[in-house]
Amino acid sequence: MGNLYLINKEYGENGLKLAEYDGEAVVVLIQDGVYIDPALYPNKAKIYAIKQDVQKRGLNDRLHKRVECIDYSQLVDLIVENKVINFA
Amino acid sequence: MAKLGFMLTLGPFQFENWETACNIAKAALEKGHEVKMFLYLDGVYNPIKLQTFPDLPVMPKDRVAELVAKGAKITACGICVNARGLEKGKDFIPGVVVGGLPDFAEIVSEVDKLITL
Amino acid sequence: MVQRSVLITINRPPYGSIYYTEGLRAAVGVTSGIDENIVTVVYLGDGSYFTLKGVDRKDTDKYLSTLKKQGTRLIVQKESLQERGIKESEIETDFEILPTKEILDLMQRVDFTMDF
Repeated sequence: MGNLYLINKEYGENGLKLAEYDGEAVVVLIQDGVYIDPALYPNKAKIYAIKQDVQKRGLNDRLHKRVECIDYSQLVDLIVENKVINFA
Repeated sequence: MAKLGFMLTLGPFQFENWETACNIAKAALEKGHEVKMFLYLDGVYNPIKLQTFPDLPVMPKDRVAELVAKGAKITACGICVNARGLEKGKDFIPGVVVGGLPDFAEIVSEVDKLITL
Repeated sequence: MVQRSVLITINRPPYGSIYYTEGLRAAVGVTSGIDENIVTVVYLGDGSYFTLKGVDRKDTDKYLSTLKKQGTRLIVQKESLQERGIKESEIETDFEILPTKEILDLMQRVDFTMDF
């Protein structure tokens, strides 16, 4: 079981800074979290974003190449497989 | 199957958290997981019976009702309810119970995962 | 039902929003059940401003004293203080100052996290 960082924008940076030290970090960007500067993404972490939140913001083509879009069903699977580190 | 606990601290109409919470909870219920949700602070505004707002296609209370219908247990913080002048839960859709933080403590002891939004 | 450990982060500064105090009320609440769950409170980012000596704690004293009686650790992130130019001598002695790595270690050990 790794750690799933659920990240929104308001103070998501606090979570990303912890994830930087976390060898098993999985990051899921939700809501305005999809606007976070990719320079802040933890180096080794797997980065996901909620597809709906990306699409409705018109960010499909602007998304950083490290980010993979997932739906809520996939997010639930990640929640079940990991410990949720809440920053949203 | 897992038990998912939620704490929702934001109300409807101004922030997206209620929607994210409902979307995750719905997907979890549809996969056969259990959902227990605690409404804290403005979170208690989400299941108000008499919501109307022309700009939203689906009212937040109807999203919460959908979760209740799928088996979610929803508890609202009593202190938060009273602070906002809501009449001891009479203002809520059926299925939403008014409780207190000890109920949340119980949720924490029961669930496998905890999501706070 | 079992006893659970919960790490609560407070990320917002006092007083612009209610979270600095409601987060502590929730912390006390989490410990209030029959299972006596254990909480740790960690101040991160702008939340760290709450740990300054001069902060008016009239509305949070009751929660802080309950938590202290229960042996709850109140922690502030070292890097958050550094980034804000806050000296360790400016921090109220109730708060432990820990680096990010040690906060992550605590996070690895608890059952759940919550954020305010």
